[in-house]
Amino acid sequence: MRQTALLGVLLLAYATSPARVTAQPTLSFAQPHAALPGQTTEVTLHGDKLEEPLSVWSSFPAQIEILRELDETGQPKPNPDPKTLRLRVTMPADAPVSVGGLVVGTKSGVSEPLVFMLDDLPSVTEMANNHSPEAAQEIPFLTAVDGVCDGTLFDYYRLSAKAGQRIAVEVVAQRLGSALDPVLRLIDPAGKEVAFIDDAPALGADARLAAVCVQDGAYVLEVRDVQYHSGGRYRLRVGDFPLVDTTFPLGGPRGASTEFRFTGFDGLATAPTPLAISDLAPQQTPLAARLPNGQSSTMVLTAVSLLPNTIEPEPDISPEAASVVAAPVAINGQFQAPGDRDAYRFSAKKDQKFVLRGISRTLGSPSYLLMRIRDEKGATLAEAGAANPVEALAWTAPTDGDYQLEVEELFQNGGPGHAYRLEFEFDAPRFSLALKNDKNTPHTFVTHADGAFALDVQIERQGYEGPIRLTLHAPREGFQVRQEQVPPGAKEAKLLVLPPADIQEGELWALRFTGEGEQGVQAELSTAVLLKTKRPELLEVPAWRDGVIHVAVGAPPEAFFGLTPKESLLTFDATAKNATFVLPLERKNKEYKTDPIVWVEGLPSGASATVKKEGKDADERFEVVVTGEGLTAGEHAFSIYAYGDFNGRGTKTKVEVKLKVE
Amino acid sequence: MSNCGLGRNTRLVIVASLAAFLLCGSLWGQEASGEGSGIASPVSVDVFPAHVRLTSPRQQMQLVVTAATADDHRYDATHSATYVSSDPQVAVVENSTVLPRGDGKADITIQYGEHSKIISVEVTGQGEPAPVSFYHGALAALTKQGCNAGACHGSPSGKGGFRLSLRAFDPELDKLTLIREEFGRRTNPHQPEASLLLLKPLMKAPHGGGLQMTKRDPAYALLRDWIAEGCQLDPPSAPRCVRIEVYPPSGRVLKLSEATNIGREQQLCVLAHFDDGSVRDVTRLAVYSSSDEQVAEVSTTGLTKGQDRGEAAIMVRYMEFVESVYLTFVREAPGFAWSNPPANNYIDELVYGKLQQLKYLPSELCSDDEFLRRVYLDTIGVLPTLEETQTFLADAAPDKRSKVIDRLLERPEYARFWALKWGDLLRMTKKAVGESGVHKYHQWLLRSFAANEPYDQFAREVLTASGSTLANPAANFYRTTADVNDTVESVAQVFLGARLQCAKCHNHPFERWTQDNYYGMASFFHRVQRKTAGRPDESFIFTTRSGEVTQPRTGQTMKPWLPVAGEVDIAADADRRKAFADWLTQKENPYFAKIEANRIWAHLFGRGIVDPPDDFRDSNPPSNKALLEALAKDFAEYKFDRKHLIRTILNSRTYQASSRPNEFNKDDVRFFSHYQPRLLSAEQLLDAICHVTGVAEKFGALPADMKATQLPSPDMAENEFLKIFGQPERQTVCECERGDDSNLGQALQLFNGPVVHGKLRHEANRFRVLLNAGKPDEDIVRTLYLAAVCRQPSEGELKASLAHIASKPDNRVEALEDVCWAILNTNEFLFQH
Repeated sequence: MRQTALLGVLLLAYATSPARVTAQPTLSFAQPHAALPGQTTEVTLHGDKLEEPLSVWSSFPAQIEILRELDETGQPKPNPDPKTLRLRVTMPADAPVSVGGLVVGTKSGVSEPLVFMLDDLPSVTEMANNHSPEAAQEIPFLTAVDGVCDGTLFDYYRLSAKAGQRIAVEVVAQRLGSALDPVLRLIDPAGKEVAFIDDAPALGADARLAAVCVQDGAYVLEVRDVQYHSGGRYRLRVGDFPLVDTTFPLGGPRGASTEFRFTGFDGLATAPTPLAISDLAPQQTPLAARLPNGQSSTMVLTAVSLLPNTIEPEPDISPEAASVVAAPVAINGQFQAPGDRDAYRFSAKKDQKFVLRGISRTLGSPSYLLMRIRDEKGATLAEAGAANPVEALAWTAPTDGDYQLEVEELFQNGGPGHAYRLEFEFDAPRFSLALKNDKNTPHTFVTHADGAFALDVQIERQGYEGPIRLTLHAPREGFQVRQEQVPPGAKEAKLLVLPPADIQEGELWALRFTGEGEQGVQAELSTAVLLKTKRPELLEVPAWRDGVIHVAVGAPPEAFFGLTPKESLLTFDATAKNATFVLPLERKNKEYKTDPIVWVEGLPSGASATVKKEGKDADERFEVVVTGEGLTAGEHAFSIYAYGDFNGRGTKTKVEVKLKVE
Repeated sequence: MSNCGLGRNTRLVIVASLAAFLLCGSLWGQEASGEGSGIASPVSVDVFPAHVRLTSPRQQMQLVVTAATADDHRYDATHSATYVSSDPQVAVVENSTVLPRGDGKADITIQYGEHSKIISVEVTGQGEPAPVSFYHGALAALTKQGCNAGACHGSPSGKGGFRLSLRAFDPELDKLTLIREEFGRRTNPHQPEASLLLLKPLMKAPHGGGLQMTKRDPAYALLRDWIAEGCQLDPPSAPRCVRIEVYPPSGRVLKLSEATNIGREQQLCVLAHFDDGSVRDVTRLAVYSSSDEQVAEVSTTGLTKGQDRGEAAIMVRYMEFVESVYLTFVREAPGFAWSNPPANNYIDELVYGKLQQLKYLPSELCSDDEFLRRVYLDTIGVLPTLEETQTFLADAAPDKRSKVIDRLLERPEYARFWALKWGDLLRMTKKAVGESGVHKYHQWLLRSFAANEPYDQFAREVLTASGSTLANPAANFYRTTADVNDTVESVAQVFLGARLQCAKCHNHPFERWTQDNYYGMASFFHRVQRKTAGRPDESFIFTTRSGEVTQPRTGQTMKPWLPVAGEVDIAADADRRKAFADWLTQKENPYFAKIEANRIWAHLFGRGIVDPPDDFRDSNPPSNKALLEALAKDFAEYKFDRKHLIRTILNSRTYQASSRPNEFNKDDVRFFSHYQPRLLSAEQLLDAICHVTGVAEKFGALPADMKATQLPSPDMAENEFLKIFGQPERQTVCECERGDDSNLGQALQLFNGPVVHGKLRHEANRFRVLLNAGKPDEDIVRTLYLAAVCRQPSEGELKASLAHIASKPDNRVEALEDVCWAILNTNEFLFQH
């Protein structure tokens, strides 16, 4: 009996301990893995802790409706199964085939994004036991199959085709966040292999092939994991899409129209198509490539920046007759044949600083870039080898004169699809913002009405030392920031974010932040480095995810600190011109060791306040010293706020103070 | 004879007596040719050289006398002939060597039996100083006596504080050591015979190396005189040796006889050619070794003596020059009569030609069951199914063996099995290239063999691969090599059959490879760079456009160098590997086709025509040069089609010969007169055991139907059985890493190891399934024999098995376990035969 009671006490202690791990929602997969554009698709999310109240966010410009059954009064019932969640996803008709993310937020936290696809091919689910050519699952042309690899058992699909018909097949796995490393084979009606692919150029582990059928009949597709691992999810797309890797040019300026064409490694290309890039387009914007009269598309990314485009003139000219460029510019070129080397001339003044960024593989080009700057005599002054991701070459002109930018493919490869983009700019003073790169730094938050949370921001200054103002961009009104002014030279900042007062449990919001300096210098807050630190298996952080801070709304946490003034009146002596208000600090949870951030708002005109922390242990307190001249006599009021975070939750408290000026 | 003051008539008498004595002595000492030697009487005699010119008192000339018979057989009569000088004041002959006595001209009459030959001798410069050359005299002497061998003072740290360069490959070092080191205490020009350099090898002073020289050795006189002359170095204008020539050239056949030495000996003459046009006899200073001392031994004076029939290469080294002479030794075999077996193709013709020459008789054809088992194991690594065995044995078609060969070459297991072999050579391991890397590398290899990619394309693909090692798996070759030295050594061993390792630090002791050659070849691969990439297990392989190799000893920048072709010019920014691959894969390349042809041969026969198969060198000659050349030519002409070559070999009668020797080939292990049994490889054995017992082995997370002979790498699924039976760890490219020695561990595994035991006890093994199906004992025994050795049991075997089963009426299962165990432990099962 005594032992049972003790056990009960222990369990109770565990249940109420603030150190208990919160039940954060998780997402494993979606069925189907994609939704069609211009249609509403019913999608079931599979995961865990998908408990009401909850919300779903999508990186797509989609409408998401959570499907709930109705009770007898016609009201929606809460989601009954914490392991699944049914949605209706309505994608815009003009959205390109692309990959994005779905996130679920509950009052307990925010899930990791589940990679999801916008696909113009309808989805079917893999059937069980399709593990031999004889038992291949029949699928129609123009289909995408959502499947799971079964390790040593290969998956087979059969489709009928006519002689002369072109079949394009693609396995989307790594791009969906799957660990699958697919191998794809196409087998003709006679059982002979007609095509095989492991890694498609610039697609990483994913595979893609196309073949023209030479005879009528049933063709079989075989999908397996090269390492015979099981559980890897994939989406097998079968259609008439072009096997294109990149756009050409590889990017364009924001807010302008650029004529793009798509080039790919099977030789088929599309006609140039003018496409407008919106002002709000992210740095990597998806476009869809489709053959004339085609019914399915390939997803392609293009770079978007503020730089004007220049296109390498064609046919290719020799380095001796290089075309002239001037920074800032984005140079878009191609290695048209193996061994191709492109050069561009520019002028520079002594000590002028430049930065050259080479972009290729992150946008689907298989090229590895080797960039050089040479002087007029051809001597190499600077060189940067190929790397993932973008590698920048910073260079200062030693003298006034003409110079040459040179770029070549590291392995002397060339041909269709071998495109590159060189963003050539003056290396002006600038800065970059990122969440603090520490695996304990949160990148998602749970807050509550009247709550708060803080972002630990790191500032990397590259020549810019001035002040920076941090700005929040939220899809709804009511979010506020505090401590947004970053003083000159500061390399760190703690930005407080206060949610709207009417925020409700179960809501989920995606916020972005920017920093503005003087003279138009600005930067977006990035989370890429932090995410890669936390998830080293991520090859790269996609543009739709970088910089997005998800905030879920939950219940207020148990108070872990309090400010307990003995009185709420502060008498200001106009002669002394100051008054001190004492706020004893009560640490309600003994594990809470850091100090809250305290600030003052609402002081009358002419007054200002400083806050200092004094004392220790039972005598810990904040002293708010109000100073001022010419204050109007009488009664005023101001507020003292305090923010603290503990165990992943932030909270804010407020003390109203009456100020009596005598 | 010197002029010692005797009168002229007296001198003539003495000369005549001497001549008579010599003639008689030669007659007395000369064994009558033809008596008991198996050699017909000579019809002519020839002497090399035909003219002797001696320009210094230090020079001499070794003569080689060759007798020819009516059937054009040529044999050495050097030490059986007599020699008479027309003017001993000018020149004399001692031990078949012409020695100068004074300026002038003379004739030497060489008499052998009834035949004689006269050669002229011209002697000059006898009164002029002839200082001993430092390089060609002193260092040559030290090399001759072995002082600078790797085990002695030529080791990297020397011996006893005295360090010489290995075989004098670094004369600058030797200069310092001999003349300047230790205040020059090793030499004493005032009392040269008291020099430590001489006292020690004579054991007149304590010498850890023991007695290494006598005063009679030519090296002693050279060193003594060199010291006496003040240890002089060679002037810059001194002539340098540019090549050596050995007489007789390769190809001579020596006949061995029990009764006589005639015909079994061959004196060699070694001539050094200098850059001033002069030629000197260095026979007494050259170093000799035999590639097979059981076949032939060679003395320090270059006299080769046959011991047994076969072929041997006599390697002759003089300073950095190496030449080999290939001699064939035959002997009469009483009762031998060539059976004139039919030849299925050129392979048989060439093998039989050699066998007939050496008087070996090829064995008869192997039986059908032996053939089937053998060809399955050699081609696809696994045993045939029962159905395949029974169908084949029942087939009466005369071409059934050819048809089986054709079918096997098209089986998917062919690619998997040969990928195992090349996985060893390419060092394909998870440790080296990562898990996904090894799967992709292996997949690439499988597809190459499945598509029968021509070998030249395969080699080119490997050697010039660049880019991501995951997207272009062939590039993993450069991931498995640690640095440029590892790369060049691996390339040389795999594609040139040359073990270059020694030449990294010094000139190769047994081959023509010099240290310069090593670094010259390294310059093709020096610019290869490796960098890690984004995906796990991924590397990028690329080449830079600059970077040169520096010879570490000389500091010289090395130009790209190729065997035979020499230094090559390559465009500054070109990928030099492509130039190497172009040269390597030319049809005319003397190495490329031969290496792979030999490798394939070695795989099928258990022994290469050159053996070890990746150790091509002059001192390791092919056992049948004509055969190897014919295979290589065929391979190249068929566009390096491996299946074609394999098919040709498998269809030969030589391949299909029985492993049972006959009276006239039982001691042959080199010339393929019969098939040599060998233990199944580790993977073959495990698969065979699984096949017989019907219980598969599971290898980690790999597919259930993957066999041991199809594993991507040994570290994908560690298996103790495979390791014990010699599965290599793939740490080197050497074929020798795959162990083939028997050991106690293997015996224990077979007797009572967990693999065999587990499969015998498995509830669903072959004989249990048959037993549970109600099959009679005889059927079960026959099935086990068919599965294991592709034949029905003999009457005795069947009787013994049934008797054993009958002795355990209450436990037939256990009895069948015993029978199966016994079959698995027979040589017939364990060996490929």
